[in-house]
Amino acid sequence: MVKIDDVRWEIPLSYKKGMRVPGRVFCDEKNLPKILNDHSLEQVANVAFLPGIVKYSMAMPDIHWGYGFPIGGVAATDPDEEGVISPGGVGYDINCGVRLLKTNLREEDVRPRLRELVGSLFSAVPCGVGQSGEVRLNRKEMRQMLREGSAWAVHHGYGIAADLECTEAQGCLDGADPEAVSERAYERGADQLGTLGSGNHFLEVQAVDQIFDPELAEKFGLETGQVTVMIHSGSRGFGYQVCEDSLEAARRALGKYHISVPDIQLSCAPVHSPEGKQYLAAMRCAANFAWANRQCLMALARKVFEHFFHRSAKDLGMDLLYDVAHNIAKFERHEVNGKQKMLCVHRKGATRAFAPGDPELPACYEDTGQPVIIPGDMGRHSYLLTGTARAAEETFSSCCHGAGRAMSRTAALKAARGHSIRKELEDRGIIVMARSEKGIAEEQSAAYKDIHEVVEVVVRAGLARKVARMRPLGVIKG
Amino acid sequence: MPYEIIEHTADIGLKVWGKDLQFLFIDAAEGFFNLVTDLDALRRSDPGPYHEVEMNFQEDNAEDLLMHWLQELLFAFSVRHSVLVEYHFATLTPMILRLKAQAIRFDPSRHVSRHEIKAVTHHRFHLIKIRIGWEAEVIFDI
Repeated sequence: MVKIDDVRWEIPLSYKKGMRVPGRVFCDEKNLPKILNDHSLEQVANVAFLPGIVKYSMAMPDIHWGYGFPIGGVAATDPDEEGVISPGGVGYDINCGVRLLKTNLREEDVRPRLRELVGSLFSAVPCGVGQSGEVRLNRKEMRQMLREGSAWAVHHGYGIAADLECTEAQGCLDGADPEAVSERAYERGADQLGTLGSGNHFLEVQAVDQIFDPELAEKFGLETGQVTVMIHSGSRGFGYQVCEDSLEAARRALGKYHISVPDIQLSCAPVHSPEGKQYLAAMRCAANFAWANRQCLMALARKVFEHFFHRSAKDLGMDLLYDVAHNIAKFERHEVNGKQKMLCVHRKGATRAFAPGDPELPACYEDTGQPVIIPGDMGRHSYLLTGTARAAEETFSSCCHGAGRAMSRTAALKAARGHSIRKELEDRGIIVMARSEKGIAEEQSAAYKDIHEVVEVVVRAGLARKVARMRPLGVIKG
Repeated sequence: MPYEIIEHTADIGLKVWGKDLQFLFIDAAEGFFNLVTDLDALRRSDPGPYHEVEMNFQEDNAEDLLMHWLQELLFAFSVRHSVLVEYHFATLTPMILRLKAQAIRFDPSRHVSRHEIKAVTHHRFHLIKIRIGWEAEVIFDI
């Protein structure tokens, strides 16, 4: 790798025969060994093979080993230059994402009854292996939900109209075609709307513990000591099945389009091909499923707070600050070689980060830039950032998506042997409730890179501005 | 152990051995369900009667057949919460699988929850013939 500056590295075209563009990795010297330790840089180079890719195959500082694409990968293709869409460039959990909900409560309001509050959330929010949700839809209703996303949830009592404005793409991608989805995806998604899932998904009660930009924080309605709620989930079994089906279709079509990829997980099809169109139509359904899911999960959280504090969600100031997708492909206009082009931007473990003034932003965030929500691990902080013009120029308006894993699950379990992660977190004032004890050990802080260092890299690279930092108080996990 | 857990940064995988394809397919299934729950505890707590699961499919080769098998197990678990505990293969050749299995219905309120497997990935996936049978490797997205 060639060092460009303190936070930018390049994988030159000469690294591997077949690369169409160089690789660009955002990382500092300190975290470089962690990246070099796994196979993620090889994956950055492999993504550069995709037909129609423009500028760079990029990786954010939370990069780690994925399948085909690295987690933290960003790649834009030009559909007019035979650019492809890759289901692996979006991932299995289509529109996995994060939302941040404000309250007007203070940490001291929740601290005395924190265990009870976290327990109420844990009882109310279905999470973990094999847990069903309460929202049951017949096929006709499901199709409507897949077309409408968050708006479907709001129309059915899960939230308010104002939530839509504060959701990326208003919680709905146009062009979702329920006919493009397999029977299996319908079956896998049937009882999963309003469920959190497992793995790294969570619902967290937090307190704002540091403000970096008072002016922006005020515009977002955040102050030190304020309680927030963060939700991390995606399209559940529905999205996983859409990815599996589409990956198989793309794999079988590689020969038809004379596409050669170094890893079968990078199977792809031209955006304008029947396979590409079919995937896009199905992926948009899954994206809309995920937005409806996070909307239902937020409605459950609001209900718990209402019961718990005997006040309405409105009275508790439980407004959605923003919702971002971090596994998705979107069509966006970006400048390439001085020309505006409509590109297919794949973000696989990366967050969109629009600068102030971007026409896609809602009126309330026109001056601030897009809120960029970066969850940390359950023992450290999460961040609220905003997008910048530099990100628009350099990374197709993309930023990191989290801390990024540094340790495998088995290594994390070994590291946790002989001590209780749950107890250690409790000693630090963080209540964790999970269906699986092992799950807590696997998700411990030590298994992740330091979120502070990851965020510093994107800030130093000028891809985002820091607004505020939230500290976990209570976490529920699958 | 006829299989071992292999590491992947964010996910988990299995390396599986079998003296013939039938052993390998069963070992892969046992490994899969042990990632999801505690199979021994499940067998102890639910001695039967079981429900029947039937599978019939074919592929171009043994490797694709194994991928299909794992995808079917994942689907059976995700949708019907079926954990296979007894396997009766009517046919198992490198291209054809016909099976009637006995399965326990997983109940998250009674059974041990381990990992929610999202997908069987193609990442590093392979099935090869070795001197004393077959060997496979698979990574699951969790």
